[in-house]
Order: sequence, then structure tokens, then C-alpha cells
Amino acid sequence: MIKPADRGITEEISARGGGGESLPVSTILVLGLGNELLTDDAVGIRVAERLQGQFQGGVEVRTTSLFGLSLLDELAGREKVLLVDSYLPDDLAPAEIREFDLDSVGNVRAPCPHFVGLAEIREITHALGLGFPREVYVLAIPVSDPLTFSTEMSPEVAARVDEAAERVRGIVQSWLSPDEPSSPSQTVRPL
Amino acid sequence: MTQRITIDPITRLEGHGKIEVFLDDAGKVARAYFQVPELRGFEKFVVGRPAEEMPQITSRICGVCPTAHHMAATKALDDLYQVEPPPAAQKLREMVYCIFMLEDHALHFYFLGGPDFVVGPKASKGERNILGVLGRVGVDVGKRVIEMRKELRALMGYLGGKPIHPVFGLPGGVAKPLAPSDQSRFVEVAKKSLDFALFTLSTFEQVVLQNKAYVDTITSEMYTHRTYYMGMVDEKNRVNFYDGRIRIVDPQGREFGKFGAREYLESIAEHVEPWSYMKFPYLKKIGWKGFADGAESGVFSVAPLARLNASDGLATPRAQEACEKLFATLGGKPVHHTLVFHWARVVEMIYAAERFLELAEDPEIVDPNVRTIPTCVPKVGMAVVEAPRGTLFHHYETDNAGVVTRANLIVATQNNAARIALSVDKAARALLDGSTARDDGLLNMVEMAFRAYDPCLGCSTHSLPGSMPLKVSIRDSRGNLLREIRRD
Repeated sequence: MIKPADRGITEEISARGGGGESLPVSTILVLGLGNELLTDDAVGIRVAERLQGQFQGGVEVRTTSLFGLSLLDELAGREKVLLVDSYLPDDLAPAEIREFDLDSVGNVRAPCPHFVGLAEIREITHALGLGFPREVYVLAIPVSDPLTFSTEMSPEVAARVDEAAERVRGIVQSWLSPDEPSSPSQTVRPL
Repeated sequence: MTQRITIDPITRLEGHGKIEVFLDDAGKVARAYFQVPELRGFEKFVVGRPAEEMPQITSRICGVCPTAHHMAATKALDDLYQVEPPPAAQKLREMVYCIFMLEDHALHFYFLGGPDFVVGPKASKGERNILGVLGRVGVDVGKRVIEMRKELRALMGYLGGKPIHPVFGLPGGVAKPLAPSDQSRFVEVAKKSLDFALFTLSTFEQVVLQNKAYVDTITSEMYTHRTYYMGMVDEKNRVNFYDGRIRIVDPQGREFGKFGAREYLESIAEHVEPWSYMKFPYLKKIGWKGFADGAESGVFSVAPLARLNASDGLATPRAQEACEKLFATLGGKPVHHTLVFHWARVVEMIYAAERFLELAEDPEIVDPNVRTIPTCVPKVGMAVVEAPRGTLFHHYETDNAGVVTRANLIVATQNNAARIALSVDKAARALLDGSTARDDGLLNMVEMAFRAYDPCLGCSTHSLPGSMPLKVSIRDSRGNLLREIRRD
């Protein structure tokens, strides 16, 4: 969202945009990841857009094209986060929507500068005494072309947006309802 | 028999490269290739769109350096519409750009390149990561980095509309002036950032320069290439990130050429290899002589060390002092050691902070006149900036209504692609031919060869599964798997 030009700096600087700050933010975040300009890479964003306005207070739906350490800005102050992202399936795996908990990813170390991952971000925030969500869950949608410039997704990927959005609703509902299991029922299968 | 070794990310969307190493009959490295998945169809995508959209569209190409693309595209629009922004607009743009460079370089030094230097190239795998860096420099320093980053991004958000994907630059100026009441906040953060940059240099000197083993690694032949260097300079041949002319020096440090954005096609050509989607820029006047260094090869380099090599210094006192120390320590200009890119990055942090402070204190920067309205019929616009990872060219052609008919971008990492290929090849030869490297050592030493450049490969946006595991596959000439090394 573009901020109004006449907004004062004090307000700007106190707005979300830094890591580790304590802000009155929604405790649950649904975050669509991707790049709207790269064909199927947009799917996480499209799913999040489909969900805009469909949750009551306490749940925020956002999108971002950032990754690596920049995700600190989005995660700070949240209690539970559901990331909606895409993945490119290998030849052997069935192309299904997958869900998994960040705990199942493991502490993979980034050997290259820009791909510090969520597990590392969690370790950094813990080491620095910064807040990190109690639970980070991922819903990953299989795609076929994330490298070609286009604002149109492949038909087969576009067709899965509704299914993915429905699964996000189910996960968020399980978080909102104390009587329900605290974690989603789908089989956890790491990428 | 030819053997083939592939170092390949076992996941995909991160847009990473893979490294393929071919061995000859004697088991020696015949050639190592660095491959990247290239984003496709940008030129087709932008044709038919209004040129005014380019600063927003191109800033979304990459989640790492959106401000560099935004600024290059904005300057290309100035050129397209033949319009000169008012002085305050130029200063605001340069100030935002310095903030961006400072934040990007700081992130690389502490969190991304740090494992190689602050922790050390020979540290165990378990330590060679961000937490290892924090263990060495201390948690308080880590908090200071996070806090500095937060403050810098807040200022970028104030002027740019948002910290990333800015909506700041317009043809002929910028969208928003700096309110006089807010100037003091910029000055305050600029002073803090200069302290921070000087502290970073001090950390580098203590941790790295006082450790002979590190210095030996930095200056080792394995990480040395005697190439041409390219960088943007002002009228006194001093480094400038935002505006100026591109200067090239030869491997002896002598000026080889100088050109403006409009002449880039006369100076740079692109070589195509069948094994890579990436085009390899080279100096047109020298020609493509293969992946080789030396004065006879058109291979050149960009980014922090290249900028220092290609300039006569920096325009601010503390950065100039640090630059002089760098060259004095390493035997004079030019320096050909790839790992010195890390040191040069710290020198540039100081320059960015000092220049940020100069601009923040400039009384003219709060002038409300920040836009010159374009009136010319557009035709061709070209511009260049220095991105954190090197020289970045944007080139647009339009019809009379300003609708794009042709576009060409040469991005920073692309300009370094041939030298990165040289580095990977040389490291692979040194490691594999010796046959003494442990699996983990092999991976890290080859990775160090390209990590120093801070490469930005492909520009995808994914965080899953969170990192780039590596796989090395060694195959015989028939494709049979002989050996596999994994890091995940």
C-alpha cells in the first residue's frame, strides 16, 4: 500500500518496516509470498488476495515479494503465521498442495547470500532476543513456470487457487477455535 | 574418460545457479561452469506498456535490490523525456540511494558474507553461518545491526513510499519533498549510520586483518584474477553510486575507457555460451577471448572492489582514508583478489554513510521544488547506476506516446558473470585437482569463490525450504553416478 504523501515522519517511522519492534499487530498472519510478474510465482499472492476481508479481527492477510531476512519485518510481533508459497515439484513427487510446519524443515544453513531461510531467521531472532511466531506453518502450491515474465498464471495453477484458499481457511479456523486441534490435520510433508 | 561433477541446488525456486565440473582423463578439472536459471521474457513483457511504469515494474524483478532497478529506470525516464530534475530532487534521489547501499552492504557484511570472514573460512560447518557471526561479534552487535537496518528502512519508507518497491522516482524528479521539520531525523540517523560504518571497519580490521591466516587466504592465487574493472565515477574520477560516467581500467590500473550511459552499447557486448542462459558481457574493444583474465581478455569486473579499482578514490574523507589503507595494505592499485570485495564493501559503507550525512545536512534538500514536468516527445532513454552488486544499465525505446517498443537491461551480477565463472573454475581446479579437500571444504571453498561477489542470481522470491542445499554429483562419461556429496 502506498502511504499518503503528506503523512508525517513520526508516523512513518513507527509504522511496520523494521525487525523486532513491538507493535499492535494481528496475532495471526496469513502471508502470500511470490512475484506477481513471474507467471506461476504469483500464486501465493493470488491466494492471499482471494482471502482478503474473509477473516474477523485478529487475523491479517498480507502479501510480500521479499524473502530472506526481510521476512523479519513481516513476522515480528505475530503469534502464528501461515505462509502461502509455491514450489516446483521434482519429477518423482506428485504435484499436490503440501503443508508442513517450520519445525520439519530443519536448520538448513544458507551458503549463498540472499537465501537465508525461515529456520535461520528463527535462530537469529532467538539469539538476539527478538520475537518470533510461536507457530509457522507453510502451504505450498505446485507450479510449472516461475521464471517467465507474465501476469497470467498457467491455467492449471490458477485452477488451484480456490482449493488452496479453502485449505488456508481451514488452517486459520483451527487456530481460531480453541476446541479444534491446534495444528492442521493434513499430513505434514516437507519439501 | 570424462567425468562430470555437478553442484546443484536440490530445490529450485530460489533461482540459484549450479556448478558443473568436468574432469579430463587424468582426473584433473578440464572446465567448471557456473550456470544460472535466467528469468525469461522481460523484453516481451514490457513492450506495449507505458514507460512511466518501468520504475515500478523493474523494481519488482528482484526482491533483493528493488531500489537499484527503481533508480536506474527513473533516470532512464529522465533521459527518455530529456528532462533535468531540480537540484533538490537529485539530492533526494542520491540520499535514498546511499541509504539503500548502506543497508544492503551492512546486511551482506554481517549476515551473509560474515561467515567467511568473521567466523573464518576454515571454521567448522556448524559455525559458518549467521549464528556463528553473532557468536564472534556478540549479541549486542547483532542487535545494533538489526536496529540500524530498521532505522534506515524507515527513512527509505518515508521518502520512497515504502521501504521496498519504492514509488519515489518520476521522470524529472521525485514524488515527495523532504519536509524541513523532518530533516533533523535524517541527520540524526546519518550520524548514527556513520558511527556504525566506522565500527564495522574496525570490526573487520580486528577480526580479519590481524589474522594472518585470513590475509593469506584473501591474497591466495586461488582467489585472484587480473581482469579489467568498471565503475561509475564523478568528474574527478571518484566513486559515485548514483550518477556520473563509467570508467574502465586495465589490469595494470590504467584508464582504458570512459563512457556515458548512452554509449554503453559501444563499449560492452554480450557473449553467449551454449551451456548458460546468462549472457556474458565483455569489453567490445578487446573482444571475447574466452574465460580468461589478463589484458588480452575482454573479461571485466564490477561491484565494490571493481569500483575502487576503477576510480581515483572517494569523495568523503573517512572513506578515502579507508580506501588508501586497503590499497596500501595489499600492495597498491589495482587489487585483483576476489575476497577483497568484502573489504571494499565496508569502505563503500563508510562512503555511503558520509555522503548520506552530507546530503541530509544540505539546506537545499528541503526545497519543495522536486519536479520538472516533462514536455519533450519521448524516443530513447538510457541510464546507469551502481547497484550494490555492480553496474546496472537500463535502456528503453518508445513510440511518441511513451509506450515501450524495446527494452534492454544489463544487470549487475550479469556484468560480473564471466569473472564469477573464472573464480568458480579456478577454485574447483585448486580443490579437486589436489584431491585433498573434504566434502564440506570443497563446497565451502567453491562457494566462497562466488559469494564474495554478493551475486544475485535469478530474482525469485521464495523462502522455502529456506536455504539452498547443495549437491555435488560426480559422473563418468556415460552419466553413471560415481559419487555424491550433499549439504542439506
